[in-house]
Amino acid sequence: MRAVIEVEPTDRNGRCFLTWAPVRATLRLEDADRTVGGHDVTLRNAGPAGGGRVVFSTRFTQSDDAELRLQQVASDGTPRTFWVAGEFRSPSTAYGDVVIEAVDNSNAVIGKRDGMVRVRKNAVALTAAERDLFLDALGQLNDAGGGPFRAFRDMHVAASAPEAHGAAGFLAWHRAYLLDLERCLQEIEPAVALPYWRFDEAAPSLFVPEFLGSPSNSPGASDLVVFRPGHALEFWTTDGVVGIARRPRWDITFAPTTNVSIGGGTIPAVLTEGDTFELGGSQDRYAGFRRMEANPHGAAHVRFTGPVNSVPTAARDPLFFLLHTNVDRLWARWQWLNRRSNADDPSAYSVFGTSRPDGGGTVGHRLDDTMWPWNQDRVAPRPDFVPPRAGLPPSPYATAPGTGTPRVRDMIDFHGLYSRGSLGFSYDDVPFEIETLETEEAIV
Amino acid sequence: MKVRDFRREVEAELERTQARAATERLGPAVADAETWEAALASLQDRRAKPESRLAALYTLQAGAFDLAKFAPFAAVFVAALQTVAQAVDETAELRRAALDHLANTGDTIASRVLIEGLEGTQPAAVPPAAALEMLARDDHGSAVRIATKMLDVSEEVQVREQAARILGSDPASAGRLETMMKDTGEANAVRRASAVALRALRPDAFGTAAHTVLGNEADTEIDATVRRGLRTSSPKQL
Repeated sequence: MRAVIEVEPTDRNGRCFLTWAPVRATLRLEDADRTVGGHDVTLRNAGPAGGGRVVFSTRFTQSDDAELRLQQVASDGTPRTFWVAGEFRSPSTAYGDVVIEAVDNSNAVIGKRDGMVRVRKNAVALTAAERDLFLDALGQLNDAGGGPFRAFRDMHVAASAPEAHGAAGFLAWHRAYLLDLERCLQEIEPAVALPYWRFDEAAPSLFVPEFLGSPSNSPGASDLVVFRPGHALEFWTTDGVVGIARRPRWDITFAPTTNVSIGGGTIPAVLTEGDTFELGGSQDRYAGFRRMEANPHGAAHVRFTGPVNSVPTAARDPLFFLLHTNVDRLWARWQWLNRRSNADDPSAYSVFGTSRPDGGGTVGHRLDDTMWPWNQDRVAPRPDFVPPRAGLPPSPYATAPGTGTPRVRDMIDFHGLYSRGSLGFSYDDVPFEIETLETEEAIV
Repeated sequence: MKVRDFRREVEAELERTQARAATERLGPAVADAETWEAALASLQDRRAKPESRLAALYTLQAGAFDLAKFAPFAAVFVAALQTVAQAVDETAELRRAALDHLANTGDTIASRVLIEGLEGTQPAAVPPAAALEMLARDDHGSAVRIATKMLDVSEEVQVREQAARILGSDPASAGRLETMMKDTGEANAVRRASAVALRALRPDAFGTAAHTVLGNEADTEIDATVRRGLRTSSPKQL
């Protein structure tokens, strides 16, 4: 008797990548003894120690169960449905370090399925292999200035700034932007997830020649970062500029959260995570929380010299994407903590409906607005140049947003708590958690 | 780890840090119009401490990320930076920070200050390698012209390295980059920069030169750089 385990979705090579959000899976029996109607089968983790682990459930919910006993699985091959997700805090470090094993009543292994729990991690916690895989993919995307990265650079320029900044949709637009980039990286290397720079903590191992580069401290030096010879980003080129200029404006062995004096008062340099969450106020509302665009977001950008400290040029620097992944992580974590993933919850977002065409600064920022450039809109106030990207590409690993023309609302329920369709990413410190019992029951 | 336990842990930790932050906080959590007005006054006040003015500059830069709210201050901020950039008696750190910000926007006054410093017609605001790097962010034409000249006269490795990178946007410089990439008399940093620039400019010429380098020099810095350049290839349209 053999057990065949199939997990939805898989990529074109049949590989399965999981996050913390449960996905549907099936188990069916082949060559089973049909003189009985069914056989009991147990699913369990069988990967190497220290690798990724999964949890199981018979319904769409968070689970702590590392084993699942399926009773009386049909011997005629009819599949049995179950749900599987990455076990929170037990992500993979490489493809194949997750192994789901099916055993029969005698504990004999009758089937296996490999996979990976792929989540976005703190950059300083990556293994050297994870780091290099990410850098290789990013370097290939840029291809010395001639690769598809050019479109991502061209999306974040002065003319498009109002699409993505200064209003409610700041976080949603950047979530889509990161997702688009991450999906491209995963086309190159499926095991890659975007890492984040936690800018309220010290991260000295990030700003070194092996990772994001480090400028020379020589008095006559420019702010050009230096990579070790053969580094994947050594050939990084954008806008006809070869190399990356960036110098930290603080001692990187500490967090950049030291207060600075100004005008007789004091302001925090970069808000801590706790302070960022406080922006939501006593009612934990998005309208307050989104002020994080100025600080910690803006404050983190200006902790460096170079293009990264200015909106129209920031995306020239790969650091931009690690910084913004952390901005997005803060939003995701705030959403989880305060149960703000329902797009129709008035506390989860702040401007609703659809913008009128002459809506000025709000176009692209209302809940049901589509977002540029994925919507291909060139009518004012959208930028009048050819949108650098076509629609948001579908992912073999996620069903959402299910359209190439995402709306702001499609970015809110990233784990698919309400829509049941995850965007295909999780953060290492933001679990999947059903927000209300009613929600759970409704989507079983 | 159980999600419920994790939630309790996070909530307890946040309560601790937020309570601590509340007792330590002396100013507003997020800058606003009042803060930006004060910051502008501080940046423009030449009697204020340099570190306070620098902090003010950073605050205003961060504010500029809040496009809509900062819009009324944007023009005054740029004008203040231009004033600082042109004032030869300002502190080097403040001047450099002002030029750094202006260089990102292709500011013509910043370009002029950088060019005058590089050509020696005015005292340099920043070292030549830094000036070249800032100039190249937007003003490619001037940068190429000056970089070519600097390569003729300067022996300074950092200047030559920066100049080589700038030539990566000039089709007429492919031959020179190829020569520098292969020249064992050049510093490693300069050869690597030449290789990177040539790869961006003419991948075919880089490929040919790369094989010459690999045939002659194994296990060197230039060898590692060149090998990476050959490995980097464009994925299909994504």
